[in-house]
Amino acid sequence: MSKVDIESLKVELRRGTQIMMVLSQLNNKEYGYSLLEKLIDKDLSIEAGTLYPLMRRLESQGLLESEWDTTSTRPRKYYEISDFGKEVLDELLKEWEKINEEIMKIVGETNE
Amino acid sequence: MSKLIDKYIYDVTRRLKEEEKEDVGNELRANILEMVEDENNEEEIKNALYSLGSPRQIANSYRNYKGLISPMWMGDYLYTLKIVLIILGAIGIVFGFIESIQNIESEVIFGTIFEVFFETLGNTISSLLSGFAIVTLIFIAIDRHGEKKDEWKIEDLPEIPKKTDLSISRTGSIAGLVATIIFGFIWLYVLYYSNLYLGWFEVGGEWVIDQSIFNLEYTRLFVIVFGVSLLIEAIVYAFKIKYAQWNYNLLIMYVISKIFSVVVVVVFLTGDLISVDFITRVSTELTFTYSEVENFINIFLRTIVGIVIVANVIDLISLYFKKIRYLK
Repeated sequence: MSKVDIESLKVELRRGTQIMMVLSQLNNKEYGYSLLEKLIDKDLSIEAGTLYPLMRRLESQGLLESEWDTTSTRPRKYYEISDFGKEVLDELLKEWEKINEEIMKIVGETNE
Repeated sequence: MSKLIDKYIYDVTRRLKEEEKEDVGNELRANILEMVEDENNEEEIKNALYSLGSPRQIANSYRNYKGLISPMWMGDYLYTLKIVLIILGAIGIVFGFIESIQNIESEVIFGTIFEVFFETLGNTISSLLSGFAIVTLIFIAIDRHGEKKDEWKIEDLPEIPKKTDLSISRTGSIAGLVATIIFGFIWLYVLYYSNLYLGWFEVGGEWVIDQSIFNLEYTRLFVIVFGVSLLIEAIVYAFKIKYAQWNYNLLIMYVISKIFSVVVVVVFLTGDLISVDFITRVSTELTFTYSEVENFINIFLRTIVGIVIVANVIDLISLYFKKIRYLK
């Protein structure tokens, strides 16, 4: 398999997990760039061009809440996880653990 | 404030819905400004913009879905489009040809061929385009307003077409069925109003029919007979779609429908079809005797009968050699 194929498979695999990353880091208010820096500090790989639209989409789905802060010199749009977002995150994390167990189990069996 | 940022944001937001343009623009601007330390440093801004990615890509990520028709409906959309375009193409060619033949303006033969060809082509293309537009609009509506969850039942699953020498293309059968129904109904209509459409025309400002070719009572009688023939053909097509391959039942139905339709055509053409008044009219207009015209028409009709019979015999023989001998 060529290198390009592997990369696009990895991107696809990551896409679903990025929602969990973002939701889990928004217990306190963050704006786009501050969240990006926070994720990068924790060695999580996500690009700005992916993160910003994702935050907006999660907001439109009711998982995040947002408000503009225009009091400081630079206006910023702050995001925070909503109650519904917390429920969804719990569900997603459970699902993630389940998938993880299943994969490990099946891969382990094959490798024996 | 940097012009580059303005241009970038414009290029992103022009691809978005009107109501979200402003908010997305503001947020994007705020985020870009956070990414640079010095708002006047062009190099820094360029790096920030490159790290965001192309405006098209960003705009695509902001939009919730990427095409007019989501992947859920794409397959059905393409399949419907294929069938509709086949049918409309056929109809466009036939009617474009008839229409352009009726209104020839050119006086030289080459000009006539040219004119008919391009008018037919134009007619066909415009009917294909409107077919494409209508199918696409319908699917966009289904996509937007239909159930997001794809409800289905086991019973809805189609039969897997067996890839044997006996298989019949479902697409072809569906196109055939629709074309048969459309052309069939046009034919029945023309028969029923044969006094209006087929005749000796007097051109006097408008086309006025002066003498119909056919006996109206005779063609109206045959509306019923052709209607039955049409129904039988439609039923055979329906079974072709259902089985998607040849079997004995289908073969028997197919042969019966062929024989029936040939008999109907032969009886129709050899009966009391042409009106006495029409023959009289033609013989006076073209200075022939009545029996000469009658003879000529008879030869013409018998030739058609011959062609119909031969064509159908060839069809059945080729069916035998291509398909039936593989039946076990």
